Amino acid sequence: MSGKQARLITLALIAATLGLFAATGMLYLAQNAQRQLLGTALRTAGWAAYQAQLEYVRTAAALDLAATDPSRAMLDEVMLRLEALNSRLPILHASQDRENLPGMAQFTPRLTAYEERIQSWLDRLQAGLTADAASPLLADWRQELAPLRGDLQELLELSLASEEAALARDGELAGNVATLPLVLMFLCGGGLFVLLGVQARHFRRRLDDMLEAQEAQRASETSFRAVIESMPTIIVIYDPATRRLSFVNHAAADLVDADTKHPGWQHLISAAIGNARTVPGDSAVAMNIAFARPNGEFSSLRGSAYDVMWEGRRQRLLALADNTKIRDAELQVMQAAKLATLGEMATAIAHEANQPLAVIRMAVANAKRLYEKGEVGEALSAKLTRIADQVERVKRITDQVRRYGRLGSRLQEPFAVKESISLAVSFVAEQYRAAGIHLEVDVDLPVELSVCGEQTMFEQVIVNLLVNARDACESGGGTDPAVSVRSLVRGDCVEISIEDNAGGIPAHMMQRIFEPFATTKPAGKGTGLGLSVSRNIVRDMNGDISAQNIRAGARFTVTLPLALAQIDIGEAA
Amino acid sequence: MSHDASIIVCDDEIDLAHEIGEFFQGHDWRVLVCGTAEAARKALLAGFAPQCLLTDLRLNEASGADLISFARQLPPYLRPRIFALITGHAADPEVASLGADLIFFKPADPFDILSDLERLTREPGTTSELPPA
Repeated sequence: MSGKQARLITLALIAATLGLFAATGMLYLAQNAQRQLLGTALRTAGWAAYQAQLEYVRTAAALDLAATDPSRAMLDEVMLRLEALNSRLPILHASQDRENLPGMAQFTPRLTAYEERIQSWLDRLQAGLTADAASPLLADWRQELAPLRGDLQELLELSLASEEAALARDGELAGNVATLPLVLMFLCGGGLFVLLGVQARHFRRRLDDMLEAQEAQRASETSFRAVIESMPTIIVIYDPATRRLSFVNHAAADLVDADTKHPGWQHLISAAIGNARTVPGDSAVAMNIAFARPNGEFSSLRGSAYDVMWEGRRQRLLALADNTKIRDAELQVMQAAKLATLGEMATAIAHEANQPLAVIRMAVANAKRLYEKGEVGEALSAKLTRIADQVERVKRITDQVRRYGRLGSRLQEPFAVKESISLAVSFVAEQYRAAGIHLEVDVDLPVELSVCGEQTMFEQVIVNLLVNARDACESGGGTDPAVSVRSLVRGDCVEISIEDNAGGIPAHMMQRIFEPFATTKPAGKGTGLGLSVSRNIVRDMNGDISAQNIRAGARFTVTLPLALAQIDIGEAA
Repeated sequence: MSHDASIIVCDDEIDLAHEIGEFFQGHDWRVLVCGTAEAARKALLAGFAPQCLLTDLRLNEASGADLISFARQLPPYLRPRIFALITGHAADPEVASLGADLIFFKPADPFDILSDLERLTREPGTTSELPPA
């Protein structure tokens, strides 16, 4: 049954119910009308004629008595009776129901004439009558009033006959009045019954359809479960409110543990939430996770989170690919690029290390001379202090090299941006000094301001950009080469820009500047991987890197989300 | 070594400049230590007239080669006789092109520096001429 039919049945059910309601109302009104009709008939059936007749008899008696004894009291009695009679007569013909009596028309003029005559009599009595004049007059009035008796008798009989007929007709009508509502009631009731039957059948069909759909859905869920169970992709379904697991497939169980109560699952969900980022134009939330497995190994996971209906309620599905091998290869490429940069910097690093070594060597010679001369006091002590300071300086340089050269980790952890930029800058500062390039560092960030990622990789990005800027300045041939490093907190992100005045990036290179092996450097200088690797590192940190030409040079801007502003996929999804 | 030997040491690595100066002083040299090329220029113009000028190749605000070039153009009575460079760079620069007589690589042995400079100062014509009356 279609939706339109169902709507029609519903409307019909409403109409039938309204019909039943109307029929019930009509029955009630009919019964009430019948009761009222009966009451009216009883009240009016010959009663007025009877009362008038009774009043006539009293008046006639009063006239007879007053004619023989025209005392004041008797005349007053006559007057009272005449007034009473005169008040009864209009009732016989003036009301609507009386006018409708058959034959009433012939009585009305006569009754009216009597009314006028009685009124004239009353006027005479009001004016006053002497005893002598009263007796004959009253006797005459008595004679004149005599025919009224016959009229009243006829009128009484006529009324009674008429009321009997009316009663019979009303009874008949009262019986007929209930027929229509009863018929309507039966029709509506029957219709209602039919409609309810049709509706029940419709519901039964719908129930059958729903049961069938449920069965199909169950079969589909079973198939779907089998599919995702056998997929190599890691699938985890959990309740976002309680973080309780609803489903994990084999790949996920292999990654963490077959026991869904294992704490590793909560670590995985926390890592997913902590590394989630919204994708513009997509309802899914993307994520890169470095997950420490229960066996201590790290897995690089990349995937998305989706809101799904699972087991009848809204849940979150994590679909993650284990790209540890790809990630390892990426790290190797990053490492190779880093070591290549380090190799290019070897000369500058050697120079930087030679400075403190030269001081040490000279100070040792001087200390030895002092010692041989027996001057072992403050001068020798100061010399040793200077040597110790220079050794510390060499250590800082070697620490930087070691730090820069080590293999990056997969862990994404918060680290302080300002310190990291400072370390990267100090790594190349000597090269800038040696190359005569003015390096301005304006990084006015709170010390604790953090971003999330692998710190040495981020430093590699800054070093790459600074080395590129240095190379550009050296090949640009400008008279006053300068590079600036600036930072800016914008909303939940920090922007780090590195700007030079070396002439900018050629237009034909701008579109592919971040592609692997795209380089503006002369052949043999640089690997062509620096910017490509930098872009991958920044993307892994959920950030962005861009290049633009400004004024007399180029500006590279790295935008990174602050660690405190990490998106909770509970809100973002 | 006789001992009117004199030297201007110029290095923006001031600790190193002082240590070199102290080393030469310990060997009876007259020493003037400068932290900048500008200070060295002023000292030369003021009439210090050393036998040797030992300068770092890359100074903060200038090049050691420029300082040597400047010193070579001084009148003979102000001009040093021996010009030496010291550098920490691993690259092997063309000494002659830099206008120097000697070049030392950090961390050079101070005794080597001393002996090379003393050797050159003993050669004829390495004493500063007297200033005009």
